[in-house]
Amino acid sequence: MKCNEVREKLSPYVDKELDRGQMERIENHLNECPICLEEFDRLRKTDAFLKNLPREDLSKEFHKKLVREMEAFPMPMGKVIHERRLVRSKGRWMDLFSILFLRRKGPWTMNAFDDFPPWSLGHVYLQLIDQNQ
Amino acid sequence: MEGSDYRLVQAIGEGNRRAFEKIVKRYQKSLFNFIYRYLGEKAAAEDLTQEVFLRVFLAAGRFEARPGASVSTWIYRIAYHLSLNEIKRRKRFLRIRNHLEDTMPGGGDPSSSDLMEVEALRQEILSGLQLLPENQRAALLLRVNEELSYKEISEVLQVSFSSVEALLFRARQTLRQHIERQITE
Repeated sequence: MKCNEVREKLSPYVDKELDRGQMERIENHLNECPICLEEFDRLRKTDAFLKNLPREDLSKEFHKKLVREMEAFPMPMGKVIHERRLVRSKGRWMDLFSILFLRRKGPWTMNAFDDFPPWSLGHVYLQLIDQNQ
Repeated sequence: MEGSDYRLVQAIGEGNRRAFEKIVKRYQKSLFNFIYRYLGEKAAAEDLTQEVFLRVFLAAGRFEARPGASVSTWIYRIAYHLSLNEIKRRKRFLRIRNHLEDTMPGGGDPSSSDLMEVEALRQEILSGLQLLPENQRAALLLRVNEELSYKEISEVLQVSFSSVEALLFRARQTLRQHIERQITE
């Protein structure tokens, strides 16, 4: 392998994202080429700098704020709860919105509009066109 | 770990708050640090972390286990998109502010000269990260700090595997040059 080919693959090599053959070819090259080896070391050092950044903690208020936000949020969770709440609250618009747009399946998802205009209407239209021709 | 993540998300979808708390505890620190390093600002990162969890809470019922789709990549994808939106919003705000303040002299951070050497280097790395294009920065943080595979990163960023390789190559080149410049100065 040539130096420029190796250098282009050093990043996935560091990440061990190459196949075994490529990993071995680069390893052999690095054993013989001090310039590429230095390049490899610099790459690893950059990663080490980034990796050694201290992991910051969230503030103590984070959980309280999150719980407060969740409780303030009118949207219920889960499809069973969606349906129950819709029956109870009779038409709360947020519940209706969630049933219409947030549920994946069911009679009132956007899937219900997949057949729009309905095929039956389409057939009538085609028949009319045929008759006119 | 991933299997239990999926069960937790299913439970959240059925209204289980305890499951939600477990997911929050499991991901809060890594998500917060990913967003913080991505945005470069703590307070905003905390707000966005909260927003990510709220979205997880609301969308859990719709999460579907597909081959190659994991809970962690789904959560990071939400975080990535929210952070990207925040960056776009800030850019718009900055354009307006710069327009209003273009006659004022640009000032540096007066406290930076008092920082310890190590802290200064950390700040340089963080500022170096901010120099990277958004997708390169996200790819690098997801790889180096969150240890996601190229395949997982490609799912989070919704790009091809080979694009992830190219993004990481360029990100590392740029960041390395930035750090080396700071060390030699």
